[in-house]
Amino acid sequence: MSFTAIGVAIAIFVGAFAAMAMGRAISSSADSVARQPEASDKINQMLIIGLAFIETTAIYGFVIAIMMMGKV
Amino acid sequence: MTAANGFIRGIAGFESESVQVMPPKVSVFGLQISETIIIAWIVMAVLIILALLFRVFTLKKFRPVPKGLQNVIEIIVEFFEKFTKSKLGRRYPAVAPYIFTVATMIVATCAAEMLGFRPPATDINFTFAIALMSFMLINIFGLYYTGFFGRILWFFKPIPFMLPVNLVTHVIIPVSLAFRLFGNMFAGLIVMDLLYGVIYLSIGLPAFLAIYFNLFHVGIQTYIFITLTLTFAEETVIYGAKR
Repeated sequence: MSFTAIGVAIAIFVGAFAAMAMGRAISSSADSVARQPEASDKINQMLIIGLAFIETTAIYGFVIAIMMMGKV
Repeated sequence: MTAANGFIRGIAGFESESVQVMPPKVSVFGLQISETIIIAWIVMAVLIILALLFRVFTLKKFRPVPKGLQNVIEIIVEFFEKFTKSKLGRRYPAVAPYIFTVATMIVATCAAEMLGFRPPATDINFTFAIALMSFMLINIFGLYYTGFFGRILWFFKPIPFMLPVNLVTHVIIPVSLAFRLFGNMFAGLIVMDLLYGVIYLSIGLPAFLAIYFNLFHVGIQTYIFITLTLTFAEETVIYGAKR
């Protein structure tokens, strides 16, 4: 019974919440672009920065998982 | 591990050599140096030689109406100047060259992955060094434009209750910048490495994925890195600057 594997799986599972949050962000940005296409540039910029922040949390989980597998 | 190395080992079956978080060290003149540092220095040498050649031979032939190579160079420089200006306003002249340098360094060193070498951005020391440089830039920007006491008072705005929140956000800036770049590049490296270990997937498919991981992801992460640096630098002067 390898507890390392269970720990790694829980650390990677954090990415699911990041994916849910990204889905909501993209959906609301698509709605606002459809509502006002002239602001598409600004909305695009804001979307990319927001996705970067959300993705960082998922990347933290990935880095911890790699460290747990003993590859530091 | 190089791509050719993985291909030859993959012919014998599915084997994948483990990619370590700390890159393997080679010994140079008696010192143990990570191989990513050597690759970074080679890329820097190539870039510096290109810049020197351009400066010595092409710069004096510039015309007021640009054509050819001058056009390309002006497009690139103007892109970074306009980008910095759109985020910082009138305070952009000193920061735009730094942004150009950081973006060129990250993109050029990650393009070396297509030749089979391990890109320096997968080394946590490299990304942490660049993140610390950006952190120093943000602080010096704030110190120059708001003064020493203005900088300290910045942590107490908008209300003094926000002091711990501002402190924690500020300290986490270099850590998040470094780990974002490192994690994305490292994930790409692991996927490509696993791909090369499987024999029937390592012909043809890595070429398509290499475009995604080595050009598209690098571009996106560089854009995010410089955007975040400029956003944090701009935040330090929004409460009223001295000059």
